[in-house]
Amino acid sequence: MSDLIQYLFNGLVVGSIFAIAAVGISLLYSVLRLVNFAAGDFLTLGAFITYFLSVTLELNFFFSIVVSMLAGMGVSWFLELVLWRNLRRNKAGTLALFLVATGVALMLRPIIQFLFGTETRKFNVDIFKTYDFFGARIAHTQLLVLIFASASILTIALFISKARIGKDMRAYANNPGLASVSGINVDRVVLATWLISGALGSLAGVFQGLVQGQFNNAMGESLLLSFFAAVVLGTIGDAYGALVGGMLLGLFMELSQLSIFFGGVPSNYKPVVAFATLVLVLLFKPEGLFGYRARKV
Amino acid sequence: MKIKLVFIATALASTLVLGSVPAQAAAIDMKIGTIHPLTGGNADYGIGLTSAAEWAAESVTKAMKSARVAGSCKITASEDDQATPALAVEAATKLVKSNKVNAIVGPLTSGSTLGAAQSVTVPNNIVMIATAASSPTITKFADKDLLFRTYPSDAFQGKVIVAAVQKAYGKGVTLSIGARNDAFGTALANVVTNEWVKGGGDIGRKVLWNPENATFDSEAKLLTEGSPDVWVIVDFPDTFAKVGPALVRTGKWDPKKTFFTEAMNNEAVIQTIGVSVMAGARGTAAKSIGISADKWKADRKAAKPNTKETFVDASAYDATVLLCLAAIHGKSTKSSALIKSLRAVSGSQGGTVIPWTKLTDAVKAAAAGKKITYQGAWTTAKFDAAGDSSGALFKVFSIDTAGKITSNDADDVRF
Repeated sequence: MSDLIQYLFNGLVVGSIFAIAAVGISLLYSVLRLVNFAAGDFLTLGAFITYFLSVTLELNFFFSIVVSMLAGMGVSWFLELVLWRNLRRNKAGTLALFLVATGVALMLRPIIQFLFGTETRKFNVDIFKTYDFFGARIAHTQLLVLIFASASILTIALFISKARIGKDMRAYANNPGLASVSGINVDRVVLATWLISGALGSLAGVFQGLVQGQFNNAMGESLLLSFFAAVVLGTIGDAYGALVGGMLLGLFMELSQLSIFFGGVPSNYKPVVAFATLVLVLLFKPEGLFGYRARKV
Repeated sequence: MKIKLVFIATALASTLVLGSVPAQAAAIDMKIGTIHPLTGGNADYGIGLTSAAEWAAESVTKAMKSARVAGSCKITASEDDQATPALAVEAATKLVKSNKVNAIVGPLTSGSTLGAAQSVTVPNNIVMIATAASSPTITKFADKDLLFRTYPSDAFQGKVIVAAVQKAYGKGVTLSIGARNDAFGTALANVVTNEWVKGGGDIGRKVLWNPENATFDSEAKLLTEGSPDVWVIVDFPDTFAKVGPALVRTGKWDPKKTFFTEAMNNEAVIQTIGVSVMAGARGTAAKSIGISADKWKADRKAAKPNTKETFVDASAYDATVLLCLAAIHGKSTKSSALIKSLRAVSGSQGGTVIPWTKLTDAVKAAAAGKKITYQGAWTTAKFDAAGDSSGALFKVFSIDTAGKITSNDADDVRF
């Protein structure tokens, strides 16, 4: 029982981070048909800005997180104004957008490296504190991440379904032409999508830095493939799907190590479990888990 | 007739005399590229090795001038692979295709070395001397004799770890092993497992982790299951910085019952990971079997005062010097000549013993085409048929509660 709780908890923590990062990627794809290869670097940026504010400048940790989310939004806003908007107006194709996104990622990495250095960093939080829960060891930082990530996921879901701009985003994703002629301010929708994506990227970076205990400038890049897997699993372009896909992926990877699964899958095969799950799902539901609903946000 | 004979004799004598003076030989301009992690968790090692290679090239060029051997030995580009195979392949491609280097010094890690060799240096016929790659896989790698290394194979280190654990805990205890899932980690984990079982011990858990994992708590849980008597951990600093705290959180792991490998033989690394995580642990690391190692450190500090030192820096110095001497010996920077001459100057075929402190003598001898045994600050390589350096010396180190590393020469193991 304690093993199940332990792996379940570990899976929920990993899954919640995947979900938050994946929903930003999925939102961008649904609205802009853009595969954001720079998403991993927004994670790194968020973690480093939070580190700079909370450790170097000794500001309040939660205040630092909020500022890092604002910074993520700021970078997204800047890129939208100087880059993406112009590319859209010039009718840049999918391949061009894909290449530019890759270029942005390759530019962001050395900028982060130049600004914050290459050393391994850690937040000023106690990463060793744990709680016993029915024999499982629940880490304090991971519990905090799970609580805040769950709250964030709920907020995102409510925002998309209830807020005016969330509804506009769904409408635009569903039919851009119809949304434009029906009075929806397209530039506002696109900007909102970028801002949400930037903020979520930064937040996921802080969460990832907290659960790992230490991080360096390669953090986001190394997780990018898992985020894309979560997006595809939950149906490309479906924000709710990305949330569920991320959670499921994290859970499958961690729970696969339980001894009831063929004695436990060796931990070095965790990515195999993740991608085998993805392939199996796509084999039976090529459009992803949420494909039949045809919900596009 | 008499005048003709005198003329011929003079011409012959001149040819003989001039032929033996190295200054008259065609200039050798050896261009070397380096690949090491200059950023990321292994940057301390990479920066130290790169700086040592640069100093070596400068020293050989100076010695060439003193010996009146035309040409130079230069590090023309230093690339950063972040100890990642994919980036090592990119770096090697740039060095070979754009910088047109004659040979490469590095990479640091086994995964990067195998990646760069397989994809770039072997297909492009470029000689590479890895500086700290230790995987036994490299010995068997089909490299067309283009891959060498100045660092000893883990086939040795595995035995040293097992011997150190046996000395501390006896042969019949249970050992659990955790390793990074790459060429270095898996190979050394296998050597330790085989040696431990051969010695009559039990293996509790063998856990391999992917360095790019989001978290390591599940791996830490698996590794601490069954309460083993001792742990062996094979990892690099950047990954163990995440695995270590996860192990502490299990409440079942004890660093005092843990042996690490050479990557943790660095006090700066221990401070970064956290002294509380590492205090009391022990480990094994290769040690210089070169000559005048302390003098080398002092001279290097004087030459490159702002570079952080690591224990393995001299390995890159020797690798660079050997490549330069090979080019001078073979009077060519072509790979086929370098391969032949690397053995002629590294001592594989005997020859006059010349230490690194007498580089001018080494250059003169190499230019004269003589076989020499270059005694480096890290090793006397004597490259074998597989390109591995011969002989090895390992130390067993301990980490105290302040994060300081101590070792006792009496515990050293020589092969």
